[in-house]
Amino acid sequence: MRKYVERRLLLFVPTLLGASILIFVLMRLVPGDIAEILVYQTGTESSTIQQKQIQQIREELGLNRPVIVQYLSWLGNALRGDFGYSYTQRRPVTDILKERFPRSMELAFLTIFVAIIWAIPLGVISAVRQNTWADYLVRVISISGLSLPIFFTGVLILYGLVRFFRWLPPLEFVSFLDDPVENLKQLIFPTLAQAYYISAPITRLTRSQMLEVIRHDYVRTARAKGLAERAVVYRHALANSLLPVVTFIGWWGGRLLGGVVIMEIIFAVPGMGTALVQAVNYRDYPTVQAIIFVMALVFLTINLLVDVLYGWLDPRIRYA
Amino acid sequence: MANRADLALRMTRDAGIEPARAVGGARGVLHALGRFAVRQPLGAIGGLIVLVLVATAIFAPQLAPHGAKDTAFTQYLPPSIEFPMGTDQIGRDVLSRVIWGARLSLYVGLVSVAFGITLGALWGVITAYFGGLADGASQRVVDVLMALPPIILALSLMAALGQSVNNVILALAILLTPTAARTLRSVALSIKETPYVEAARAAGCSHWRIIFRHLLPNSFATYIVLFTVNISYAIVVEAALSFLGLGVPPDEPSWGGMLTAGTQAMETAPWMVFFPGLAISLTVFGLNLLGDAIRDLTDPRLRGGLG
Amino acid sequence: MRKSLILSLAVSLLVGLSAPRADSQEKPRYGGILNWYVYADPGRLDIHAESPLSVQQALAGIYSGLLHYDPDDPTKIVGDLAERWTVSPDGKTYTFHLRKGVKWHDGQPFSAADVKTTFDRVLNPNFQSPRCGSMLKPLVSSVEIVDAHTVQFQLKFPAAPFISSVASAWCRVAARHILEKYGDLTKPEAQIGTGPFKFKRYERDSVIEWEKNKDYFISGLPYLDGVKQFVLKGVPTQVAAAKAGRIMLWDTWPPMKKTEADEVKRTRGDEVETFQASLNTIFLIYMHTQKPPFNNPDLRRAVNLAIDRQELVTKTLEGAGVPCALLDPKLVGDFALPLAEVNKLPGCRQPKDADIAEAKRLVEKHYPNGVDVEAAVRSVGGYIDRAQLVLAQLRKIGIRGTIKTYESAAGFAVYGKGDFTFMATQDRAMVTADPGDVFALIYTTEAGSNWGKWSDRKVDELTDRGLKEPNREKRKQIYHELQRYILTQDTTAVPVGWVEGWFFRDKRVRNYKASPTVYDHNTFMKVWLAP
Repeated sequence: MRKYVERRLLLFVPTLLGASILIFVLMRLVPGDIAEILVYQTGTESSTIQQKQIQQIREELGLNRPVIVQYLSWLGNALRGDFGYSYTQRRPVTDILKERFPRSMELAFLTIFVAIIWAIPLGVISAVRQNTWADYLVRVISISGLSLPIFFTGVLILYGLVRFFRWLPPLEFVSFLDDPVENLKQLIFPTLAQAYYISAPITRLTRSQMLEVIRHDYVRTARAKGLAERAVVYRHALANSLLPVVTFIGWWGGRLLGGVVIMEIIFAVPGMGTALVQAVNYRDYPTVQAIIFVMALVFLTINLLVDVLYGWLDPRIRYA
Repeated sequence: MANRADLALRMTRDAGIEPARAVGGARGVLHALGRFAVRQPLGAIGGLIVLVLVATAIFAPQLAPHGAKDTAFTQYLPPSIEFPMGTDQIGRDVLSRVIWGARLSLYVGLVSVAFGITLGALWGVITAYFGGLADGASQRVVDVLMALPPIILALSLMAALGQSVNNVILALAILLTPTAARTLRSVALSIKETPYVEAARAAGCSHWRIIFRHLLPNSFATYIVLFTVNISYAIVVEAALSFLGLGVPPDEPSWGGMLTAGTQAMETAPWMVFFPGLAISLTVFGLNLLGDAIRDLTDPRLRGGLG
Repeated sequence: MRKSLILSLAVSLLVGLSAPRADSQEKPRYGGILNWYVYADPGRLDIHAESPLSVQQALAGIYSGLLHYDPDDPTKIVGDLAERWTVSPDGKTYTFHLRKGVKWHDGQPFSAADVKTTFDRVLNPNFQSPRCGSMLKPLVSSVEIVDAHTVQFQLKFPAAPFISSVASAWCRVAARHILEKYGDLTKPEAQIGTGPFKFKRYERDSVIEWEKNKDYFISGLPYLDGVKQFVLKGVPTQVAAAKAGRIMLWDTWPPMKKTEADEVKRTRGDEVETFQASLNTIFLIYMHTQKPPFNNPDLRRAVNLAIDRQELVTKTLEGAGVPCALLDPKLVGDFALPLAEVNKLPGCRQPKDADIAEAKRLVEKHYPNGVDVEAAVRSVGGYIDRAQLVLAQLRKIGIRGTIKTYESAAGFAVYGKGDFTFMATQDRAMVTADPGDVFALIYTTEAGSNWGKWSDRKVDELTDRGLKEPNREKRKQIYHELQRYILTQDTTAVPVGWVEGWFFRDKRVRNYKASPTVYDHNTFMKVWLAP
């Protein structure tokens, strides 16, 4: 078991590194850099001055150095916790991270929480009553969640609130610690929009895992022993079904983070998503690097934890 | 070889695993479809929807009354006999665009998924079979690709490549490859350990024969499920990219792009939002029902009721 | 001698806004917070160094300038920190007499030293100031302190646009002690001004808050307790906020479309008033003059003739715009050629049959089978829609365009480097209301937005003369000649028209007047809220 964990931890680092290199290179393949954007967008200075200004900005930001040097320099600093200065906000990127990270995480957790309390019971029902009308109903409901792009669901919610209630969620962000009610008033709607979407695969997965586990011998034995159906279902089957669902969530976390980006834009939540999109648009390399780094770190950590948990519970893997 | 194969077949059937088999002839196909419809009514509905979609896409030139980019008409016209789905913000016929959009969405969805899932599947199965260093290294690559939120990866790819239909396909394919690789890898791993494959190996079949004769066909069901489910995912991601301004060029009749444009005129011209929205929902709905049903049918662990 | 360079702005500008008589009869009430919005997060708050509109909006009420547009009558420029000013007879020395007793928001006294520090900073050749700097650097040679309350500007030549440049909201005065302390004005903590509002809070990507400056140098002002700007991105969110009454004023870029304005009106009814106003922004179609096919003047002329400006304004701007004009009479008064004359020029005149036939002939002369062209367009707002219409029009004369969309910032990079052949549409906003702006920004050889790299000596000459001509009548003649020349030449950038848009105001917001340019925002100093 220890070896398994050690091995996984060891693999963590190169993966993280690989992700940071990937985004580093990708960002530099995108045409235009902050210098060109700043200067050309305004277009007021004469063309000779523009060229000079672009060079000046690039010098200041070290963008003229070879790409490898830039990456290594970034890496060296990042390892010491210094993610540099944002090109667009002129403040340390770590400040941006500290500000934004909790908010996006809050949105992500809320979404998962709501999705789970909605989807898992549905999946259980669907499994226990397989191929009955209840099963069909659940499958239809959950698949329709997948049917609309979440930005559309989000915009529909916004529109509906205004049209029918003349009301909008708060447009100004208030942290949960300062005022939980205001905070939730703003976050509940993007949460609902996205939770509906991701509940479908969770329902489906719960259903298939339940179906598999229910047929296992030990469940038959438990039933033979005379335990109530309910006890059988909930205690044995459900517990074992949860694990793959958790694995799945860890696995699908990437998609979830992506959805958070869109929800933040629509519902005016100042999280990592909006910061990231703005940073990409303005080629604010340090900010993009840092946010992607953090997102990848979170994603890989969750995966690692889930895999370890899985390995601990499933002997086949433990000794692989 | 044939005798050994028969033996292996019988052994695996006893173990409860059914290998892929072709049923003879057209009647066999119809039979199979009929059985499918009875066993999986939801799947049949899904299949029907998908069929309509494909037909629309194929016959778009005949079905659409106008071109997708013709702007000779008045803007924001509500649905009428002449324009059953109304016109949009620069006076294009929404019905025509929805019909052409079927072709575009199907094209984008199909091709990107075909490339992405197929490549990923091959990658996953082959590395799973050979194991060792190749497997380990490729898993790291998959991990790296999956560590980035897909929307962000797609966004950056589109910004780097430039907006065009083919670039969207490329970006989506890149997005889908790691998922397929990982999923098919675990399927291949489990098949690899079955007595069927062990028997084949013991019988002296070559690696590639085993891969193509046994691993791939038995992964086919998962592949199909991934395929159908991810077509709808591809369509939805493309819509999200349009929302962020980086999808297919906005003059193309992409349903996602139409949806984005429609959200800016929802009260004035709700038909701009309703019809593309309906198109996307139905398509995704149908594809998912179908994929669901196929999975139900082919995954032996899930057949039948309780006990 | 005071020069008023802004002639009467629109009746149409003010028509929608007025019940000014009714408003001015009511007594202003104190109190209340004005809810506003800004379309993007400003990021860096240095008013001298930054250029986006979002920065301007974030800081509009915080600072004062030497001069500004009169909040009661935005067609006039009046003194802000300067009580009055005088010009030397040769027109090269401007003396500003500053108010006394003005305090910075942190209590420090204001003096001429602050003005000198501000303008020394802006005029420094090594300091990048794409707004105030690029306006003043060509005009001003030095700024001197005469005494604690008097400042003198030495100009390089008698420059007509000087006053409107100094009055621009980008040329606001910052505190010397703040610049010394922080080095620049990027941080929220450095936002210490002399304006009617203090900078209270900046929650990035969320909200910007101002609070009333109780020690404002005009006693009795401001009426409002504060102003709150929500950062709202994307049209659906912005329109939803308008309909739900979360914002009280929408008066700035991006404008609403007419359909959206109608929706807001339908939802809020009598509580709001929607109006159409000018953005002092011009809609252009660019051609690269150094690359085929548009290095051939015949082709450029053909495009000029074929573009149906009226159709573009009607269909893509929903009629909110002034087609054809190179200078808009509503904005610059009689410096603009009369529209009657402009509308008769080839390219503008309706019906277009003769012009289109001629254009076709010109194209066929060089490309008998027509020519294929890639049309670059940025993926912003309604640009794609416009681009499609433009290309549809050009198809009639044998120019077959395919749209190539660029992500917004990448697009600017492409334009700046000249990596395009044809730009289907790009707007340029004017920074001041001076008639020379359009030419200096777009048409001269060195112009920053002359992306098509057009070089015409006559244009350079005339623009330069217009800049330096002190006599108003003569200046007008120069600009008339310039307009006629460009409108009939085979130019690089076809002026499709001046862009207007739709906006709304909650009727509770009183005494609000629209500003002449999209950058000169109201400081809201005289605005008050009815209950």
